[in-house]
Amino acid sequence: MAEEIRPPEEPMSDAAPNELAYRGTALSLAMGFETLTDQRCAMRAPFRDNLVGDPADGALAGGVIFALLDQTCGMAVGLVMRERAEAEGRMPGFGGMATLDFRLDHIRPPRPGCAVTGEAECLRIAGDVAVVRGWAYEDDPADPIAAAQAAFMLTSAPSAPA
Amino acid sequence: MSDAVAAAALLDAWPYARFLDVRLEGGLAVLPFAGRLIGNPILPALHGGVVASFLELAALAKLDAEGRRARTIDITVDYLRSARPVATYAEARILKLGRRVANLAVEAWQEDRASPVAALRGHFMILVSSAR
Repeated sequence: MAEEIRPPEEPMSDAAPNELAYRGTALSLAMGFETLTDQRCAMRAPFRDNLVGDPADGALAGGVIFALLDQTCGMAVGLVMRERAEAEGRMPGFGGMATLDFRLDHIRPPRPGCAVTGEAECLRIAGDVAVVRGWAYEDDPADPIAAAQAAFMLTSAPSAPA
Repeated sequence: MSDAVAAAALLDAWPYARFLDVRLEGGLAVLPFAGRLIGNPILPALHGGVVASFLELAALAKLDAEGRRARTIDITVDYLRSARPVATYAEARILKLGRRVANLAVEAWQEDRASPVAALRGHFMILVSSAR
């Protein structure tokens, strides 16, 4: 798979449908998150020794996976808002969002020494509330480490004119 | 071993806890502010994933203090207010400590404890009940 990876601080082009330039940049840089541009809405957390949870396990901490999926879930909402704005012939605004709640189920332990990829999909935006699901895995999306379910409140209405 | 010493042992041993610089002060978990923890630079606000990680570590440290080594089964985090770029505090409560599963609630606040910024509920699998 020809996979392009770029650091999250790079201003996003149309190929990378997210709002990383405005959201989560500091933490993404600190944790080394990478944007995967060959997938619709995905980021990778590279394995780093300083992000390990229990040293007896030697795997990325659950909180890292939480942060990764929080980030990709936000990206998924930004992607839908952008598509909606383009379909309506508006400029995509800098619509912010706030996480209302975020549930993370750990399906199995992450493997030691491995990078983790997070993907997300926005299921629906109804009014000001977006419903999103996300999942994390090492290599195979069909073998997930964790699953997320989240609700975001849009802090600027998606239908507002640009 | 006192609870505080035991819980600090987990926070000292976990590299991710040291990365976030989570510590215990007077029985409370503390997350000092650092610029790299920002999720929204416009507000600015702490990243939701950082807040959640802090709450989860507070829960695990609480179980550690009870002599229980645990793994997270699931956590749900409610975000109540934007977490501003200042120190954050958390207190974990064990709602039920079973032989195999524990249920915990954690609340986090900043300057005003009566205005929490986030709350966690979660289930944790008990791996070891160490005899201390």
